Amino acid sequence: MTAPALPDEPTAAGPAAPVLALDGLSVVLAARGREATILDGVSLALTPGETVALVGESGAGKTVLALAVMGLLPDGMRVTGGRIVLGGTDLLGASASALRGARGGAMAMIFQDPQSSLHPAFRVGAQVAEAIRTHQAGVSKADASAQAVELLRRVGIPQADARARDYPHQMSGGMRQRVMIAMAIANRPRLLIADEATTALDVTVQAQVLEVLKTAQQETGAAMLVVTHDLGVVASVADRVVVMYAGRIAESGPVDTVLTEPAHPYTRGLLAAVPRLDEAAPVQAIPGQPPSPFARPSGCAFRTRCPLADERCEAEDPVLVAFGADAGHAVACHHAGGPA
Amino acid sequence: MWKYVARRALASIPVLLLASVLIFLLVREFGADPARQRCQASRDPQCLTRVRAELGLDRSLPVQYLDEMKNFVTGQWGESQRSDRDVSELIGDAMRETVPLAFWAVVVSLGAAVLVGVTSARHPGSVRDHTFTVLAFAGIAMPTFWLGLLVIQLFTYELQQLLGLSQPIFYSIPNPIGSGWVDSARELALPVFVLSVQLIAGWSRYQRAALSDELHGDHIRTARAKGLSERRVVWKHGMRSSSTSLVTVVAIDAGALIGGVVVTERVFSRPGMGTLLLAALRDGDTNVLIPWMLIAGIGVILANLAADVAYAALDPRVRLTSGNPT
Ligand SMILES: Nc1ncnc2c1ncn2[C@@H]1O[C@H](COP(=O)(O)OP(=O)(O)OP(=O)(O)O)[C@@H](O)[C@H]1O
Ligand SMILES: [Mg+2]
Repeated sequence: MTAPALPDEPTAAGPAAPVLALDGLSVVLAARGREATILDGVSLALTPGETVALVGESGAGKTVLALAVMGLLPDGMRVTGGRIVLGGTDLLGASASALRGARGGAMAMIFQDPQSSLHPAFRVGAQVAEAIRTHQAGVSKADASAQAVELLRRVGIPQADARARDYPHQMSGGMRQRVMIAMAIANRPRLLIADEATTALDVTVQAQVLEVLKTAQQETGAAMLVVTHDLGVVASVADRVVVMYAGRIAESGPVDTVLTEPAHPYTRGLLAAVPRLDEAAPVQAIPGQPPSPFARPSGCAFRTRCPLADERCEAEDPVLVAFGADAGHAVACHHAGGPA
Repeated sequence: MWKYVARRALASIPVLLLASVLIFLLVREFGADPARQRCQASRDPQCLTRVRAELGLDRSLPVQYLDEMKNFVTGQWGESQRSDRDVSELIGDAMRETVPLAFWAVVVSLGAAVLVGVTSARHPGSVRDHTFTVLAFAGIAMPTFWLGLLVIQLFTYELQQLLGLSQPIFYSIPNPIGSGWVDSARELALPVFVLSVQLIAGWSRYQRAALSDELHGDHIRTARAKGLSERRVVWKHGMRSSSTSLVTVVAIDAGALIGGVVVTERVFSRPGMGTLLLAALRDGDTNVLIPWMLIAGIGVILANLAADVAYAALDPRVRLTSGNPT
């Protein structure tokens, strides 16, 4: 590869067609006669093989974003605007059966809680095999079972042929999450979504499962959207990071840039809240709470907690615009890059 | 699994023993005194003592109890004090009436309750759901005897007149080949319906609640995320885990079913177990009452045991974690 002169330039070869493109996605929750905007004009694209981390405090809308892509929004929520395009197909306009074909096929999701996400009454091998047979017509039961065992082996389950006959409750959390990963990659998806896939696990197991996830992604060449609270996870797996606040993107960009030179005061706050071994600086939590989607402040939603807030922030909604020298770095803040 | 079932079976033995003691004492206490009955016409002052000795009623209660149980277990149920017929024969005849009634009522009720409950759970808040809710409460509130009378009035009188039939409407169903099935269907349709209404009403509520809880579960979201059809999501993944609670309720309702049978048979004048019980109670026929109640008690306990087995078969957590206490 002929290396470009500047290290900050994106590598050559031109932009590949995105696997997933969200364009101005908005989701509204209707509850007890009131409406709240949960996602507000979120745009995002993932190219093949790329890993994007989605971070933000609880309630930012990360899970809702993932579920919207899967077409699995909870009761009461609906998409009110924008587009979700997966490999050229507009999922919002797709028929129910086309959407079912994409779920577990071209896109697959791994959920947070391996305790409850597998069916308690079916053997894990059968649950993986079911994913195979749902999407690959003409695979016999026996072949699907054999493939399921192979998948379980690939995600690092020892004695996979015996463990395939286990029920979920006979497995540890880490093993169950491996089963979920096996199920997710069973049909070689082009998009893998992992929603806090390691949060519920023991710290020691987290790293292993993350490794399995990364390997699985590399083997399938899928794009991966990793939802996480853990900035350590971001640093170790992601190429790009998207920071969400109150249903909008606050900042996005290459991981190195965003983690080392955060431009949004919210991102800085998140980073300052991470305990670090190598720094003497005390951990500083962001003061206050994120706003309820039913009571969103005017202007910038973060201004009520922001050290840089002024009248402009109250009056004017900041939009996401390119920032700084690094390609792909964008920030939605009137004081982007301002005094830390 | 079999370990678990065996343990449940063993656990039901003390329940059965306790029930048998209670039944024995109740019947002895409140049933008519057979000796007094026999001596009603006699003027012999020694009659009571003599008959008591003859019947073994002068022995201590525990001895009488053991004797009674021995007779029950060995099948020597004696004769009805009323009709001099063999009690085993009386109960056998009655069972031949009652078992098909109860069986079909349970089958029909289970099928209908599952269909209604699943429909409601899949479309909560829909017109169908609200309709089923109203019907269920009406069904639960409606006394079986009243429903029975209403149905008889409607089908054997009003409809018959309306259509100008010479016989009750169900007997107008053609039966060209003289099949016994059609005959029983004609006879059983109305009683089964009457007996089923309350069961359907109650069970469909349970099915709705259990399944709608289930459908909000994480593992159902996983099933959907796999791309399964909604039918498979509901009928395979949703039903599998919600069926355990329905099984439990059905078993608990075995006792209520017996009550329903008594009322239904009475209303339709069917000579089954219910009618036999009412007659035995009226006559103070202790020789009938004791085996009758023991059979009913065994039936209820067997139903619960069946539920335990089904529970274990449906839920591997029950099946695999019990049985080995380590
Ligand atoms: N099933 C639901 N019904 C109603 N509101 C919901 C539901 N799920 C999420 N919400 C609301 O939508 C908003 C976004 O929630 P979401 O779960 O996407 O947050 P998140 O960023 O994933 O947070 P966390 O880090 O806690 O997982 C929150 O305000 C939340 O209260
Ligand atoms: Mg979440």
